[in-house]
Amino acid sequence: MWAHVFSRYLSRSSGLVVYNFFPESSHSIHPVNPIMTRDELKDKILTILTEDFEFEHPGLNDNLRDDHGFDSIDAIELLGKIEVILDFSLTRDEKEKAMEIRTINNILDYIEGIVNSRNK
Amino acid sequence: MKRRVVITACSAITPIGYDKKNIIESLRQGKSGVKPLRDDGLLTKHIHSRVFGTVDYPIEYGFKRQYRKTMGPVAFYACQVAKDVLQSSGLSRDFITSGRLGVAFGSTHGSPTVQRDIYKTFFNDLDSKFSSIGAVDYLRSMVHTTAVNITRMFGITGRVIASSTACTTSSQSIGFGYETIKYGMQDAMICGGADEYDTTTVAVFDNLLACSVDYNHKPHCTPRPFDAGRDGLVVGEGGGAVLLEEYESAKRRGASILGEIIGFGCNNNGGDMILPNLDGITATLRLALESARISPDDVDFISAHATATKMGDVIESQAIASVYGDGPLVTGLKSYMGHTMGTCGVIELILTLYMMEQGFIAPTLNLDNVDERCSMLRHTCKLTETDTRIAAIQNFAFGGVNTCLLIKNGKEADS
Repeated sequence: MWAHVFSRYLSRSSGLVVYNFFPESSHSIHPVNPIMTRDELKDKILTILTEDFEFEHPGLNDNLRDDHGFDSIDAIELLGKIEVILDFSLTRDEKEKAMEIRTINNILDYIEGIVNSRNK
Repeated sequence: MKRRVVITACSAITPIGYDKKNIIESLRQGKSGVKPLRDDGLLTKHIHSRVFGTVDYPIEYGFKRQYRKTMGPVAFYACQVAKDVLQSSGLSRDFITSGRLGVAFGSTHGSPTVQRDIYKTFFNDLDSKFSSIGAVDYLRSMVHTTAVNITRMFGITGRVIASSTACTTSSQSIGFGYETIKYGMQDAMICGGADEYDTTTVAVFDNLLACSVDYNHKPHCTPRPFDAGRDGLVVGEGGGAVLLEEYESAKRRGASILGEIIGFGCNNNGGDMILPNLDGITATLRLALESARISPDDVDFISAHATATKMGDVIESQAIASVYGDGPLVTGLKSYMGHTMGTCGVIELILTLYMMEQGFIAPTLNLDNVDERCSMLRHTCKLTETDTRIAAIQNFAFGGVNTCLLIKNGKEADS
């Protein structure tokens, strides 16, 4: 699903790239400390999805789009919130890796993957 | 192909009420919707004019987040009145999504509230690691935000016309929607405009010395169109929508015919962007009559643009007098709610429809002593019970854009 999202929003030809007021290239990639367990991260993401995105009874393997109407706009919003959780800006490559996300479990895997790759 | 175009549903959020009953009551009782200007914590203290046409009653929107996320305050007004007209129209879901229904809707400049928040965030957080500018802020603030939030919410797939010509925004929307149906490009159009509470607009007019300042302590006494004591316009907020349909199909489905658009005139002064222009305005009024193929004698009522600026009212009076003489009754409806900017055309058209249906014409509020330069007209100085067959709605905008819509009473149109 997110492939569609990012091809639309990050494409140089989209016109909406002008929206990127703070290009991630201006921030250096730095190692991070895994400050949260997966359960803590799950609670945080579920809180965001229920409170900010108004999901009702989210399941970890629900299809975000089909079951909760999560769309391209939501995906961009959620990436911004993930940056706040991680306390660093995602690179363009890291954002493009989010294209494969379909479920909440995928979101958790994605965040853990980012943290691990930065600590290699 | 030239087809008849009728109005089959309408809804307006105005400083004098939301539903038809409240609006008619305000018009009959001479209630003003002008209130003290709300403090925005930024510009208000620098603005001399402290009055505003205010929507100060709660509105139950009930929009799901799926839709809310791309909406600034202006789109809430727009989608609410669009929802009202679709609900009351009885149009089927199949028709609404068929591509035969389009949207002509606009606002003066998208959502200034959202734009202001973007800049506030941008300048406050320049050194911040993350942008707190939302991914959807552009969608909430762009110039055509009202039109496309309406199409998104209701799954409308027809044409989108997003006029944004300041004070003629919604009258152009209606005029262009009318022409789109008349010439067979669409079978129905949701037309209108909206503008939200915004002190930027007040500040602009204030700087131009065009805002009312002498009645800050008695807001209901201003604006005063055509009155010798007028001292400028009062900015306001609101939203309005009408559903236009091709006459034969509306008739076939048994729709209520509230009125008929019979003519539309629109031009530009081709010069000064601020000063009203007698030749340009006069030409617009004549264009509308030619478009409707009627004579000036056929028009019973004129809803004048009448913002209560010193020169604007005089020039408009001269234009009306040269085209109509002193035949039709003339009312400045902004006297009830101020100048709702991009919304004023549609709101004034809806108020005119209500008055036509109810058989009365509301007087211009605060018209205690007619300016002698405006005195050649037949002003509505008191509530007048009368049948109106044809009415003109006139609006003029910065940039030199002029419009005139001619509408026929619904009972006449249906007979």
